[in-house]
Amino acid sequence: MAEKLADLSPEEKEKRIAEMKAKMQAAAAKSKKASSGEAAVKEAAAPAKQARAVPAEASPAVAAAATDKQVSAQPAPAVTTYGAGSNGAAGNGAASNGVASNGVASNGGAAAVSAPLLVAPPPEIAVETPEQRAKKEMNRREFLTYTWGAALGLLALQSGVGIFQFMYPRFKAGEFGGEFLLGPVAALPPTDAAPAPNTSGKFWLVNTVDEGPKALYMVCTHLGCLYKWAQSNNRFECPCHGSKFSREGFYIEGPAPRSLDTFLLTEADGEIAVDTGKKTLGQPSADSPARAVPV
Amino acid sequence: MKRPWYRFLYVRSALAKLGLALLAVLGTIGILLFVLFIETPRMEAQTKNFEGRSIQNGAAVYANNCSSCHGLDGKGLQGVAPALHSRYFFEQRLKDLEYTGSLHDYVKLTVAAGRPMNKQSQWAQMMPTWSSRYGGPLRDDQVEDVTSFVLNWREDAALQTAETDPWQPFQNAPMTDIYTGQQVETAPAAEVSSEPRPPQQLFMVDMGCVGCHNIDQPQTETNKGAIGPNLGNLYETAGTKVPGEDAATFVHNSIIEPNKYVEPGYNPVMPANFADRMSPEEIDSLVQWILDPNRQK
Amino acid sequence: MAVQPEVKKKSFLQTILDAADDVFTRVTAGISAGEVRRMLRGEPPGRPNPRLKPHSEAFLLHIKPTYYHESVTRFTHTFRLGLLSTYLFFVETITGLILMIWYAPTPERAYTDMIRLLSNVPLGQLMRDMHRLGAELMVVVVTLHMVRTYLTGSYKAPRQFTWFTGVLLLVLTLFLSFSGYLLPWDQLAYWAVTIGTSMAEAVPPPIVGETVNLLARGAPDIGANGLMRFYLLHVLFLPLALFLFFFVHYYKVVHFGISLPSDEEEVGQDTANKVPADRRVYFLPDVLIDESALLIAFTALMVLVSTFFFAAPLESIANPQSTPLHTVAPWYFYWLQGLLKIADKTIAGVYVPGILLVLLMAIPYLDRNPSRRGRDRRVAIISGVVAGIVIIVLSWMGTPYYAVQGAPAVEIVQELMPEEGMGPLREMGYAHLPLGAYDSRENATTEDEEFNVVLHEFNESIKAFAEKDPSFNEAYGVLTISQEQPQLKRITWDINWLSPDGKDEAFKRIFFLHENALYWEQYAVKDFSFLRNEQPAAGE
Repeated sequence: MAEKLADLSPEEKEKRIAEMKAKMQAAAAKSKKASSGEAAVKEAAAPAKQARAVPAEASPAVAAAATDKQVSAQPAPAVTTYGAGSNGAAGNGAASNGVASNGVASNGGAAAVSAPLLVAPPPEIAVETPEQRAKKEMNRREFLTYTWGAALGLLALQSGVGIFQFMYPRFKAGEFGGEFLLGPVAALPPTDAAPAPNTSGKFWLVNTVDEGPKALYMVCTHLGCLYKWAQSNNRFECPCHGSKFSREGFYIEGPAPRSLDTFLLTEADGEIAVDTGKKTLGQPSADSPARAVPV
Repeated sequence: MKRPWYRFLYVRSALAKLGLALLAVLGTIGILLFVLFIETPRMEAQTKNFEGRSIQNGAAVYANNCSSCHGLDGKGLQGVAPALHSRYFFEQRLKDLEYTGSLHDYVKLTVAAGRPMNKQSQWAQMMPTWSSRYGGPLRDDQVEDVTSFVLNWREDAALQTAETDPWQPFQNAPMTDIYTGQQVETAPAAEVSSEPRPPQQLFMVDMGCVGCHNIDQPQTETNKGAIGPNLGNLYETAGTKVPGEDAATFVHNSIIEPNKYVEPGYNPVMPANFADRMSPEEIDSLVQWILDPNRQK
Repeated sequence: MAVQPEVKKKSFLQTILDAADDVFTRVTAGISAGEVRRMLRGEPPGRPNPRLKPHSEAFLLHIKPTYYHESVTRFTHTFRLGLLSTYLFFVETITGLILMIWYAPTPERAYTDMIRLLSNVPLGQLMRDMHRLGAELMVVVVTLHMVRTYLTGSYKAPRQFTWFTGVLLLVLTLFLSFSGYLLPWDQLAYWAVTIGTSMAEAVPPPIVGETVNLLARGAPDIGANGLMRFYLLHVLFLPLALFLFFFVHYYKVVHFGISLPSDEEEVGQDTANKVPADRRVYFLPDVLIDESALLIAFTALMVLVSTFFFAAPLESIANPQSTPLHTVAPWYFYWLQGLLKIADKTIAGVYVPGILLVLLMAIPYLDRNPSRRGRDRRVAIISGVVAGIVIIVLSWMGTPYYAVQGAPAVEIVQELMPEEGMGPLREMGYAHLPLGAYDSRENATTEDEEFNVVLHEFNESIKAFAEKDPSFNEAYGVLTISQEQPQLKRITWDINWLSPDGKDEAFKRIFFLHENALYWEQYAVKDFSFLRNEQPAAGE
């Protein structure tokens, strides 16, 4: 039994290969016409490209317009968008009357729904290949499939947006990295009060005369220590390496490379909010207005 | 068709291919055997390597952050911070504290979380928290590295004698003298007295200035203090440092606000809390004493 | 009844053998043991050829063609680069899976896991080296595969789409290699990936760039989230994508056949699938032996190289606070780094690579020349070679040698004792560092010859920089070696010079070196001195 199969297999195989090749070629030929990017290149450049650009909804118009180009091209400029391009490609189009073709052409691109209603197979056509018919009309089934495809596309887009939302890092309000609501503007400390620490938001809130309220990131710009407020000296002092910053967060002295970093502070409807996800780096020490030793 | 010169690269003989494959397999077996054979010594060498690298990294962390208080050689500074490079520290400290963890844990915890302290302690500054977990600047691995660096003194410290052990007894804390085996009662924390303390006591003991400043050596180009400038010739130079400040004002300001003027080449590490720890009269007497070329010890 | 006596004639042994052969034939999907032996002896197949059956019945072989054209089986026609690329992906998958056993993608654990892998996992270092070597080789082999395809014009009709998927595979390979870069969580990884992802930030408009960056890193900076995302990209998402496109690519390759040498067919013809009977080389057994021998030899070479000549680098743990000097991208992105040095970030980091990629993918659709013969496509070949040269020059410009010289003092020290990696001083090791202070003005020498060489180099490089740099006058340096702790030496580099306006300037850098510290270079003969040193170290 095995021998018998083995005996047959090469021929069978070749037969099958031949079959498959034929199928593939047919598929390739089909896909060429149905605007497959890969195969279409082999064709002569210009007409192929334009043929590809023709959407399926417009194809009735294409076939129709092709035949009577001398007649219809001049009175109906609306045709040119699709019709002119396809003239070369669909040179073997069927005959039809000019009036109908004009009407279809101007409507073809506009509404997919109206296309099948408007197209009536011209009575002059005696023989029509299935392919030609496929080019012309869109039945309910085809239309429904396109709608379904569009809906699928929409769903994919929506899923993409969903995944984007899922991936995008978020921080809760009141969590470091997120927003901190600090109440009404009226509740801000006076401009001469000591800075108020907000430990969960890692910032010091100060109200200044020149720049209004500021949220200073609680970490020293030198090596990341937490600096302290020294009331007696009216400035911030870092315990690790002795950097000093003014009440407004400007560098005074010490090894820190820049003034204190600040968080974005916004005022909306009289409410103060600090966004700890948006940090602005302090200016270099050399530019600090509070610098003790001028450069 | 002409034969290209590189045609020899196309081996047609199955024998040659199989031979090559056999050789390759035998070679791979040989190399893998060699690798397996050296795995144990290699892993040992790598273990030691990463222990060594940890100490290296710890040394850099120590030099940048710890040496200004605990001393470059880890022997502590009088009145600033206790010694770590001390036989007592390695052999008896935990027993006296009745701490049940290991010395590694003790050091690591102290580095990571710091030590709270009352203002009247014998130490000038409190141990800050260093681990980023508690608001400090160091990552976990750096805390671990600096711990291995400190513990690497063990071997050296074991050679110390009663004379060379730099340990400064904590005030008001009982300790065992490892060299005599005696229980030592240390003096209770100094009461805050209304009597002004003499400048010698302030400089040498209470404020621990001597830990960073050498009062006997002059500060010259070739002879610079390691952590703080030498003060031996300060009476000559103090008036020239800051324009508009005479010698006494300069020294006074340098004590109460040490970071206003930092000598070039030094880090701003001098504690800024002397104004709280001394009365104005004490500061004045200290300034006078420092600027007196004929001062008495 | 008539059958019965026949059965009885068979001996017991013969029954067993027949049964065994039956099982064997089922396993091989149609090749009996006898046929296998004929195959191994190099004898022609029986008629009808039973060696074709596995191609139609067995899953593993149905994706392989039954026979090839004799001309395309020549090693020098394809150099088997596609096969090698596939194989390297396979090697990466295997070694990667093994490495995953000892790896957790968190900043707390990733680096410690690397140390454990190196110091406490048998064969851990070999696995890591193999994986890294395979990753770099894969980039090389895939690129060479593309170059070969370009030079032989094999991307032409009908293989345009094969080329297109090939370019996708190249991009995926680069991303796969790059995403793995971050996983050791060392300085090299952290800063290379920081630079890489910050290029994404340059995508205009700013809101898009920021968003892309946030999505890649999972936070404004690379941290736990970023590591997890890169890990998932590296072990799951990108391999799956590569796997998918690999099969598309491979299907196209088998479907159209490997293009014949251009001289063997007419211009514009493609006869790869019409193989005359006398030029067929059957997969079983000829091509199979050829391919497996090549892969085995390649594996042996990889094991050899990663055992003796290649060490996957591991710098110190990632430190977001300090950027090491001369941070570099992986070598296959040097060209991009070079481009970034001479052009704006948005142009060099986004537009140029984007346009290049589109151009590369579109090559088969742009090149309308039907001939694949070298003499007919001089323009294509010359422009390809020019593009190659440009890439090489840009790559050179991407290295620290081009236009990123720091201050002389920094460079002098960096050369002898870099912040990361080995350098000549660490290479000598702890034992060759005599204590003392060595002033470059005194040209001091010591009893240690190796140390003298480094000292000499130090003095010479100070002199050289002092001569060519006008802001570096009357320079001298002092190298101080002191004992910091038992087994730990402190190495202090002091360099003093006069600035152009006569001011004293000084540079100081302190390093520590432990007696047991070992350093490896990535591409160098590995150091096996620990084998030698083991005995004395134990005796001391």
